[in-house]
Amino acid sequence: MRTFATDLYLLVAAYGLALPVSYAGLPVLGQGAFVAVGAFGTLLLAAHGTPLLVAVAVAVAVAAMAGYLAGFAGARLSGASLALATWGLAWLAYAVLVQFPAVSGGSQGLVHRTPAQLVSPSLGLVVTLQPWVHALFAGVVAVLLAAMLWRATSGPWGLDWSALRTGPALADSLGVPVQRRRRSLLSASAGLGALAGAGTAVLVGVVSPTDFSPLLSLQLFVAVLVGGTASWWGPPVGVGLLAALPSASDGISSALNVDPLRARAVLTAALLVAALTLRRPVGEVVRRLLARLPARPMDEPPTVSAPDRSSRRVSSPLLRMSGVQVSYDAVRALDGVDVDLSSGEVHALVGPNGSGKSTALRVLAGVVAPDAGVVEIATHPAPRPGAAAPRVRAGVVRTLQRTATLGALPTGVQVAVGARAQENIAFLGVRHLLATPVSRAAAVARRQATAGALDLVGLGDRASVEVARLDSSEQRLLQIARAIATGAPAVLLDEPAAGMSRRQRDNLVRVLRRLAAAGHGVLLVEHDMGLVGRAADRVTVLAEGRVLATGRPSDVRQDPAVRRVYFGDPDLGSRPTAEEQTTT
Amino acid sequence: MSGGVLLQAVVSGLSVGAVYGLVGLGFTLVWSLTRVLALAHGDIVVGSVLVAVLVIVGRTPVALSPGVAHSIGLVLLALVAGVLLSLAAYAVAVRPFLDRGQRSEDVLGWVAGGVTTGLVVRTGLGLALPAAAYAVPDPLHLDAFTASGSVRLPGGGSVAVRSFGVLAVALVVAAAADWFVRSSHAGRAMRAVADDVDAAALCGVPVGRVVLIAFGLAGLLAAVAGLLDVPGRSVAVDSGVVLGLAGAAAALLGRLGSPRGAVVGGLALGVGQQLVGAWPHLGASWAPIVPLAALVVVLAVRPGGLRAGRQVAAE
Amino acid sequence: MTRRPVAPLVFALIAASVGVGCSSTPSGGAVTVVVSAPVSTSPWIADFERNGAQLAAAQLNAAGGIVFGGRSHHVVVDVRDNGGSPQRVVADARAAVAQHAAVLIIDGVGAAAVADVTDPAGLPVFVVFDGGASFIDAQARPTLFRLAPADQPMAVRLADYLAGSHPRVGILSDDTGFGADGRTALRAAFIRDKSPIVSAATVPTGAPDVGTQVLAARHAGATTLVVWAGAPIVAATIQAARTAGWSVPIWAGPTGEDPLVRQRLAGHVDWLTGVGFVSFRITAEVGPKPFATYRAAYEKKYGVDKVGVQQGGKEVVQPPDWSMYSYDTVNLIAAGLRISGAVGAPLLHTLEGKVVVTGANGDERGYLASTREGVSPDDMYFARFHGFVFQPATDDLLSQHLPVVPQTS
Repeated sequence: MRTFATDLYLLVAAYGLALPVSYAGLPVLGQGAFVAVGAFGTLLLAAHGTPLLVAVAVAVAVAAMAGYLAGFAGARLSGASLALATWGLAWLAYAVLVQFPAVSGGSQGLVHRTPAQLVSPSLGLVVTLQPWVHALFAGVVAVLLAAMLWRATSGPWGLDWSALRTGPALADSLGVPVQRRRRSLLSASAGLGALAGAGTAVLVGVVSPTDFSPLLSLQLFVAVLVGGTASWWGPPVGVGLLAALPSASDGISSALNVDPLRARAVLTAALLVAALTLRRPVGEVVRRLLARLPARPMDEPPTVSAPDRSSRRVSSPLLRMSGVQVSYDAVRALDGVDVDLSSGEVHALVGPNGSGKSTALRVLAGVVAPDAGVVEIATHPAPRPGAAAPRVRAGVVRTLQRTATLGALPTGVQVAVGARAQENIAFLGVRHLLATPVSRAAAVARRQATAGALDLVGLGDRASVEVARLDSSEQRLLQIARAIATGAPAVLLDEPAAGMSRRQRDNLVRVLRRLAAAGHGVLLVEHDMGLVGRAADRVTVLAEGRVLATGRPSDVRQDPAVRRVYFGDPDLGSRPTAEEQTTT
Repeated sequence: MSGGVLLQAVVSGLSVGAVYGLVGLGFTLVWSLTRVLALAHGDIVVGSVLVAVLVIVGRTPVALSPGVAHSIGLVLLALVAGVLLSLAAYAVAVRPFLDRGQRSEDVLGWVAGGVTTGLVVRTGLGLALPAAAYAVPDPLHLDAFTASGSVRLPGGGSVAVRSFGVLAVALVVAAAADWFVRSSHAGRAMRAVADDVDAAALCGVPVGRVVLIAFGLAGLLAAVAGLLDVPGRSVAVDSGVVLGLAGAAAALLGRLGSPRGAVVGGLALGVGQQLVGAWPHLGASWAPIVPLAALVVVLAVRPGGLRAGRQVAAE
Repeated sequence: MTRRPVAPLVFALIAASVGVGCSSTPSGGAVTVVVSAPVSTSPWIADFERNGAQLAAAQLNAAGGIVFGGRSHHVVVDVRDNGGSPQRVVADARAAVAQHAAVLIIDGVGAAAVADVTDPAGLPVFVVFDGGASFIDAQARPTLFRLAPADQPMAVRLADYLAGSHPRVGILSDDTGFGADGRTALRAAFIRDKSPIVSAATVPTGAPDVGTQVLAARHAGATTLVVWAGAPIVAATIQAARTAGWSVPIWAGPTGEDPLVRQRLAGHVDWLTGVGFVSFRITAEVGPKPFATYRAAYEKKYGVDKVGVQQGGKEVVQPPDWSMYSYDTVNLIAAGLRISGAVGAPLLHTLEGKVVVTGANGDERGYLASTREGVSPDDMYFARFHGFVFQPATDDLLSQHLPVVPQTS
């Protein structure tokens, strides 16, 4: 029972670690440090006369806070850096525990009486924490966590987490608060780790630095990894494997006829390496078993019909920049540029390479801060450049230049991630766990927005298709669908036609016109002048960081300054194709 | 802190730091080519030397100057062991988690792979070398330059003469590695892969083989670092991890991807650590925390530090 | 010696004679000795802990087992890996209680934590390595015994011994619990003896070079260096002092005899001149015979522990000294069982003053109701290196008459 309870606590720590690792894709190698905070914190406080439950609560809160603070530094790191930083942290915590025995009790550790008792004089209640009480508590926590994760996967949290995991940069551009989500996951992970540490400490009655060596962090990491990606059943599988390691290594050493005690360490290490190769097969087997269960809502294609968007709204200003200057080192990329965008129009930014059109788009998207000048969204000052979420909520969304996707998530799910930006409901994730009416309404709205966006770009029938099955032009359209699902009226597209065939470009033109007709304002940077001529209501020509001309495509083409700059440029000026003339 | 103590701390810090620099150099090299952090690197540093010692000296090594044949054997075997261990770590723990362009694809995978491989090296050697610490003979005979094995410094201090030997050999080897990456045929291919793996592949650079050479070179540098560091102190099978993390900190301090930066970062880290240890108000128990804290702090303060260093030897 | 009770000795002799007279007793029972050792983290400690217990068990079994309650009992040694973790020691203690073991032998890790498990069961726990000050307490932890030298009296003995030469002392200790305890005890003892401490430094366990700290001690005018730290730091201290041309006397704690010190200094035997250490004695006044007998049996079973250096053309070997304590523990328990007739509380009661055995080195091993320390300060001695081998110091009353242990083969 005692071993079982210990394993259950280990499971709680593994569930905690699964949040950042298997849900958000962050390689966190320092969970042991937070488990140590819970264990040492609880016993230190208890030794100074704090009631046990208070000590546990304080230790867990401190660890969660530490995790949140660590998240401020850690959430900005790339995967590799985070791995190194957390591995360093695991060793640092261990070194500090060893170096300062006043905190850790040295090699003897901190001791607490077992079985511990909870005494409440006011209620006249004494609860003796027998091993079965611990097992019950840890088991309930673990089951609750599993249920929560199972439920969360189909809801708003699940959408955000899968976006964090599969494409953090893209998620950010769609308004997912990447840093904040990562911080809360790291914080929750630390808190759960500390809870497990506190529970084990009270159960066993002694903690010492040895129990929290980086080996613990490593074992937990491998356990979570073996369980696979974003699965509520992963941690139990991993912890089960960990629990089986000693007996497996004993079996091997008796087969090899070597001293089992000596061989255990190296065999355990070798089995950990071997376990890494089990990652995919284990995931496959369990997934197949689970596939027999009824599918969860998220996997269903959106069946709700799209809202009617045909009504053309009155043209209103969406986005404007004026007098913007940007310099890279000594080079002035933009030198007093004015660009604006209204609803219901397609506005193209064109110019030769190095003219500053991409920089202009990046300033409007809030990726680059202007050295001088003003950016306004719907006549209000734009939020400071940084994370994209405030921009998206203010009404501006952009697509990334390369065909980024959110991993292998189905098309409909990817668009639903974008639709999340429209949901401004407090505690929606928690509400979803409890299946409140508000959350159900939000889910319906999300499905509508998803279906609407997919219909608008013409991917309405591809919602449940895996992204890998889409061709490159459909992936471009998916990018647009994700962006407009956010509900932001101003859509900034960076070379949406790159790599498309003529027929696909024709389709793109139709999609762009539909967007404008639905009331969006589309600003695109594009090289293909034929496409610009057919799709755009307005063209702004940039050259050497200044606006050369702006106006209707046909007028701009006649502009003498434009013709001078573009002389000899086959794209613009010299010989407009017949097609362009017919379109404009 | 008196002048003599200060000078002594700086000189021994340079020697400690030169080893960190060599470890960091291998770390940086692997990162440039694959965007993978060699998390088992420190274990290879200590492991390569211990393998050679086990084979040639046996299970009770003593710090006695070995004869010529033993010296050559130890050096060669350590170098070979370093290369083989590094290549094995690559094959088992890194390669499966790279994409077709030999770049980091599955971060979770190689992170776990690297760390567990280090654990295998440690525990495996622990079977043969169970004691808390070992004395290892010095095949490079760095103590032999003066009769007492030490050099008097102005101000009353003295340092082991091997400190200068370690510093000199480390700098020469680092310079040679720098030259190799900069000027040799294989080195140019490495830089091409580091700069743009797709373009390099298009130009006919055998990316797979170049990455193998880089891992081999990193193993070689690890073995040299081990041969310099291990004979100067008491060493256990698990002494390597912290050394590897110190090397990582050195590489980060000098901006990851830059070989010269790694060496400079290592020297700075070594001197800083010795100064902290010699500082009367802090005391030596803070010294082992210095490299680990440096690692965590550098990453926290400069989160873009890893991405900043795209170039290898192109500074 | 005066504190030793005489009556228990009589009990023991009677018990022994009863044991001899019962060679025809029916066999069948088993006595379990649980050894919880840091096999995976400090295998060198685990080795002597386990070897001593297994050697004693083998000898007892060869002599027909332990006879009590009218039956002969076979001795079974159950070795468990605690990985240096008190949590796992507590788990091992639970296992020991569950299988009604006679005794739990530990290196010292977890000593402070096992009481909750072993006190209710009356299971005696023997610490056979760790000399830390904090955990031995006859009142609070009645089941916890130590059969190993305590660090604190050793440090006090060293300070008293050095006081005669009126030293100006430089202390070096490492950052382990061993180092910290030693530093505290040394400070108190030197102050009491009015020997000025001119410098005191703590160095990290893994420090490759302690030149800075040694230099500081020299600048402060130290005339004696005392280093209380793990063997690597002891070796590094000797190296730093001697390479700087400083021939100061250097005294170490019991880690001074660790083979690693000599392995590190293998190329410079002259550096060991003037180096000594305080430790527990390997031989007693009765002469070298008991230890020689023990050693022959030990080395026959486990081989010779070579240091790796040579002296006078012969290999220097390390006497199997630490393993004596787990060996003595098993023998003491066997003698106790012959009197108590049962494991648990009766055995525990017997250990409190009713049984004494002669240990592997010829010293008597036994406890009183109020004591839990099995090695008295009088059993600690001083040794100096003569080349790569050490001999008892000749200027200390309790050391000078001890026989020299041969250390070459």
